[in-house]
Amino acid sequence: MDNSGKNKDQEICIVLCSKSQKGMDMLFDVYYKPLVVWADTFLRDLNLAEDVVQDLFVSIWKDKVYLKFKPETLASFLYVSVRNRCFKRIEKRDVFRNALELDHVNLAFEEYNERHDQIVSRVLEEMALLPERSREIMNCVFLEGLKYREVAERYGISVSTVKTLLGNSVKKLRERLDKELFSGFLFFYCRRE
Amino acid sequence: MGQEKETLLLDYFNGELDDVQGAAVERWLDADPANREEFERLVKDCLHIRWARKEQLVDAMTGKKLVSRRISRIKVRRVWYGVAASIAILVAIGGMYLVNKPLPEKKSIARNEVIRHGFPQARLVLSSGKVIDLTDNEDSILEQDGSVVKMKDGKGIEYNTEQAGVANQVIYNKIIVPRGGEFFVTLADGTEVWLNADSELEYPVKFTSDKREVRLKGEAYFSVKKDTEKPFLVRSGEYQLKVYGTEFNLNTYKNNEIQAVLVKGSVGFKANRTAEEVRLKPSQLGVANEVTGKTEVNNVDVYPYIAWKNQDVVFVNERLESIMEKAARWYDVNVFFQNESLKDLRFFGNMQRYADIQELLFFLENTSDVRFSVKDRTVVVSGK
Repeated sequence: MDNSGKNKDQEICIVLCSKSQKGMDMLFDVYYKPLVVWADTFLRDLNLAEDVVQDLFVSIWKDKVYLKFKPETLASFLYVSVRNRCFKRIEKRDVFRNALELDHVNLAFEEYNERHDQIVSRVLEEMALLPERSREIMNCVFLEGLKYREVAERYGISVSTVKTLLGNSVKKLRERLDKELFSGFLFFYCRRE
Repeated sequence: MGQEKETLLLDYFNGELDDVQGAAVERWLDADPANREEFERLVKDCLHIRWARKEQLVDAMTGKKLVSRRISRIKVRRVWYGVAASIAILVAIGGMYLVNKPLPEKKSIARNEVIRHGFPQARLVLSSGKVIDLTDNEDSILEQDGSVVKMKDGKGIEYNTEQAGVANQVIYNKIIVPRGGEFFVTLADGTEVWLNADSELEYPVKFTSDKREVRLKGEAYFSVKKDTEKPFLVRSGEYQLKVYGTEFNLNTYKNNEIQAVLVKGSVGFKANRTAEEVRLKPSQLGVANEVTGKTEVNNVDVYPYIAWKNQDVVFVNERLESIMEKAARWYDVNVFFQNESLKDLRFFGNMQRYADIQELLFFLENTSDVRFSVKDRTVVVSGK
């Protein structure tokens, strides 16, 4: 599976410990996008999410936080910092407020980070295969955070159609994601032989 | 649990259920830990889908520009304070000198026009024995078998064997990189080799046998083209390293301590003809003694070993002797230690490879009690 992440963290830490700004570029290239969508999970606002992550990067450099970086804890340091900064930023949290503070959401992000490239490519590939309407509905609910009723109104279809199409799409994507995870384990197992 | 339940959980997750339905789902979740796990798996997958899709909307380019602008502003301010302080001191000192006596013509030890950092330079020995200087060369070279050696950006060469005939015997080329040099070569099979200063690589112009075999003196970073049918062998004296497709650095500057650092893939090496093969995993350093056949494998941070090929110099707890050996090859100077114990001083640091030697010496002097004096091409290391 993705072992490169660990090596990258190690490389980033070495370069940053030598106070080279190149290390910040490396850190950015690996973590910026995942951290922005992580922040967006709490803020439901992509621009605000970008601001939060940019502020974090700047303060890492300014306050020399990077001197304390260790490869084993780099990823968790970053996502805990982003989450805390988000909680500071928002007064009003969305409906999943309670759910979002739960461990399993943190675990979900850890896993997302570890298998990042694989998950992203599978999701995009499988979404490209969906019928256009199903894809639109998914974007409305998952990206824009619209209610089923709002989606139904936008496309002039019934709420139950929205429900069914979304349910089927999610099912297809989940099958693909689970399958990939399984084959990932097999591969890992073989390598240990 | 079928599709229906999954849809219901999805609706719950999306906040689409009314109070009664929601309470029912919550009861179901509380009834059995397995139910909750089921739900958490769904949430995880939904979040993964959402994050993966949403990343496509993130404009990382702009973000990066904004952050680096903010970061460099911090840096500039700091440099400015530094510059202002140095000017103040210089003015003060200058003033004192002017008052006391005229400044004598004095050559700073740190300044020396003769020494420059390394640059791409090499000579190529053709199969005919003819030697060609590759430095600043732009012409392609034709080998006996019809292979063409093409120059690449003035920093390297690559082989094109499309026009090569079927040779009855393998012909070899040798590339020689002098002290103060570095060079890059792409072999006929697509394998890329970065050669460090004071190194030599001998290789077949075209790989025709069932093995790809090359000989190395000095140091090189290999990115071997994958070919499971034809293993790639690197020999250095009796030492031998075998790979199929991988990236690693091999340092043979010392005969009794050949170092292989594996970045990706897997390699096996033998210290000499009679030694057992030892295998390396990524991020491991294998040190072999060609004479005794002894080997040692350790987990390491790879980057300091391979930084040179990225035009970086990274020291992590490195002995001064080792640092100065590298400097000697890269700047083509001789180094003389006045005191043996200085060799054991250890340093951390990061520099550009294409920096002047003064920068390196300045850094070493300012972080320790060691002092340097430079005369012609000799650097003398002394204590304070």
